[in-house]
Amino acid sequence: MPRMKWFLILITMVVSATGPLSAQNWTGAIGAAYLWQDVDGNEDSFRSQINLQEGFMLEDLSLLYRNDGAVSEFSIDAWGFGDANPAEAAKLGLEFGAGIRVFFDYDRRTSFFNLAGSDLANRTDDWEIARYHGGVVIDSWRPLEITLGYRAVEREVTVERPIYGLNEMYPVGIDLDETMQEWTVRLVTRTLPVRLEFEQSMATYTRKNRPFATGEPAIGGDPDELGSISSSVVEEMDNVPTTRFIASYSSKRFEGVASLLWRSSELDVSGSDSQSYLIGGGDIGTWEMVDSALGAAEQDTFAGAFSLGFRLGNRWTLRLNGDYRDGSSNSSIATDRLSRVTSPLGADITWRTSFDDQGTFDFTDSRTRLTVEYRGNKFAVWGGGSSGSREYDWRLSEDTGRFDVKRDSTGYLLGASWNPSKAVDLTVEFDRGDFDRYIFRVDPETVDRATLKLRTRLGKGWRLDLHGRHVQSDNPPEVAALDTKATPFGIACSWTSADGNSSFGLDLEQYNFKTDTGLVLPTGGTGRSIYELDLSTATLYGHTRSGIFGVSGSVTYLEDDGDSWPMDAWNGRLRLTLYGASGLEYSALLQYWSYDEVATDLDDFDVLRYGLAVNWRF
Amino acid sequence: MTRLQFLAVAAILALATVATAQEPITMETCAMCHDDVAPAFASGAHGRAMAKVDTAILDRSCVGCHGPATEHVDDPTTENINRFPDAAACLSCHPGREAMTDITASAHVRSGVACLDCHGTGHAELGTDHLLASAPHKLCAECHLSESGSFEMPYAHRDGTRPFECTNCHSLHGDNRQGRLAMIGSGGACLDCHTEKTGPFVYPHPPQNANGCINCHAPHGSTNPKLLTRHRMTALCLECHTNAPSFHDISRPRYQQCQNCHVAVHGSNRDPLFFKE
Repeated sequence: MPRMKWFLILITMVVSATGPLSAQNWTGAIGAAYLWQDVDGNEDSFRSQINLQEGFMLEDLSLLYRNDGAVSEFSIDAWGFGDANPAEAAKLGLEFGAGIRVFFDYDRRTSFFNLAGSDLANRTDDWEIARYHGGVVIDSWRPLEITLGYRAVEREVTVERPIYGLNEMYPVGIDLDETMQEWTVRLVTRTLPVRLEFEQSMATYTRKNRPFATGEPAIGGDPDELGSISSSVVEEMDNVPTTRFIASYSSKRFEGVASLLWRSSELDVSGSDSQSYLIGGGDIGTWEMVDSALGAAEQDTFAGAFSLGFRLGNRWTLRLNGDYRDGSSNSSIATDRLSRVTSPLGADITWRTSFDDQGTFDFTDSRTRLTVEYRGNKFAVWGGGSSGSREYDWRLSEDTGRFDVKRDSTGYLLGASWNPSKAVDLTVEFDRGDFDRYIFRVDPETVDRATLKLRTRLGKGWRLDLHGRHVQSDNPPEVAALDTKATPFGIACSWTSADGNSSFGLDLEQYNFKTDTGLVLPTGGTGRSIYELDLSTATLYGHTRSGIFGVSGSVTYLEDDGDSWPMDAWNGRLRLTLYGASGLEYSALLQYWSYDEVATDLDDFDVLRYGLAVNWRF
Repeated sequence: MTRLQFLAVAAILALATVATAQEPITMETCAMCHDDVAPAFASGAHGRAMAKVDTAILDRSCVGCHGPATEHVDDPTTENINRFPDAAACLSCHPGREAMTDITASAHVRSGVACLDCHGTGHAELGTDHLLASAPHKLCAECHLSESGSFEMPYAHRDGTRPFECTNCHSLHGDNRQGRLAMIGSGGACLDCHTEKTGPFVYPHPPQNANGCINCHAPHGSTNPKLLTRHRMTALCLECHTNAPSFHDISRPRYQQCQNCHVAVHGSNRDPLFFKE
């Protein structure tokens, strides 16, 4: 929050320095709501999914000031502030007649996670992330636009989860404190035939995780207690440079764009963490462990991409795309571990061990694709091929072997579209990718993808869209016997009145997904990992306004009949609005959510949310 | 040809040229009939942006988008004017950017998606960034129905009751921006918010570098907590890890959630087995 205050003060000072703003030049809207909610079932589960609460909420604040004076435009857009919504955002913009723009964006999101009936049931997360982005754009000089930018991300998180200690799981809390700051200079040419964009940024990252004992007993009922846990470890990256360069050119016959990116990071880790356990509740003694570490990791990443398009005559288009990424990193760590057992009488035995470790991780990725398209009067056909390679070479630790794999791929695609008029567009496409060797055992050997899309504007405000896709991938039994099939398809129909005052629509979606992967179990035996979704979604929505009354709403039903974790859910929203004089609007809000898992009731909920809102547009 | 004859021919040609040359058609000409449309455009966001670059661009903006209007001025019908400008008209002022849409961005072009399918012309005051005709999630949903529907799943990126905008992660014109933070795959977009997973790590988790976050997460929405691609975390991990020691008895609850012990699944700076973050 101090960073935001700093920006607000800066903006206020700039506005004040440019003279008084005339009231008659303001336009905009402001709206606020107050919402109540009734929760039946697991409120934490509801918060884990939707995270809404009771209270006040700024629905909309948009102010725009325009003038011919020194300050030609001043704008504020904000929403979400208050207790009821988990996200809030604000944008401030200031434009001077001299060709200078000042902008500041802020957003903050909170998330919560605590489920009772999941694998993750013993974990609670309470996250808050705030992002700031501000800058000055100088475009008063026609040939060059200059942007000076600043970006910051702050995360404050409290996580409660078990750690493994003394052969048992112990609940601990961890306060995560992370900050990222980045300063940027960006130059864009505007008068050269080739547009050039250069960006140089410098960033710093700081991370401090601070665990603490919650005072709760071991999850398995073990009599040994976690006495204390703490950490002074600081992870820092100072002065991480990122350089980006883009060149682009276009004419009636040719378009081309190429980009390069280089980044170099150096991570330093220092500090120690300690844990102590009261054996038998302290009656037998205590065991204490202190780990001190000095670690480092360096990573250089280079990435490049190009995209070229040639129009050959009036009918043919040739496209060539490619990208290349290369990363290399080296890491090292020196650890000193102290273990001490102390009897209730104070006698102790101490062990001290240390180890050094090093690792490397290098990768290279490249891909090119060539496509040719022929466009007739009412149709287009296209086809092309692609090739790529991926090489991974890593050794995570001196205790592990080196892993060096190179993988090549080829592929092709064929497609056609039919556009008999502006009202109809039908597209079908098939593409296949073949891969040799595997970086990971779940990588596919072949991927086939077929797509169909139909978009129609039927006239008189009616639209009908159909779409479907089938994707399947597999690899041979000696790898993982992977077999994955995904088939999303759906239909959407909508109508909008000519004056835009009324509309309604129905979306029906079906998503079938099944993946089957061979496992090698810890016992050495084999098994299968089968995951299946059979997901149906139906959404009905609409709005209408008649005179001073308006209504808008939507209702969605979602059902998963798949074998893995079947459930169904509803959500609906209704807003009734009374349009008053002088741009005032009075609204009543009604929202509903339900969630019902077949296997257990632990995370089910029904939530009714209702409220009142007042908006004023001027 | 005598010198006199040559001069006579030259004079006739010069007179003919002067006689056929016409005043360029400017917004002022158009405003004689379109007296509501032209001033509204000039005072709107698009008109102001044009004037800021050069007032001459605004003056010629009507014919710049709607094509030569000589015939239309003499015979004002809708048949002899380009009512709905195509991409070429837009790109005549917006060329050479990395966000080109005409030739290189093949998928949108092939599917017949035109500039004005998503952007307003500037004749109406939309009050949106980039003159978008409506919110990005509504525009994208017109074609990308499955992806749009994914946001209705129990676990999804949400801003409360406000839709999470597609443009938070996607650059729609196929522009060539690499991920800001130099991660490959989808990681670049994710790391704009999830900065703590940027790396480098002393002990990285290779799949994150290889395939990005989508290796384990479904970014648009999932029926599984944490947007995971499997409901059981054990299954997700064991699909790759074939060498788990035999004491991992996966019938016991302790071993059904690998992250109970291997807490730093995105990479650790302390422990090669990810026991410490």
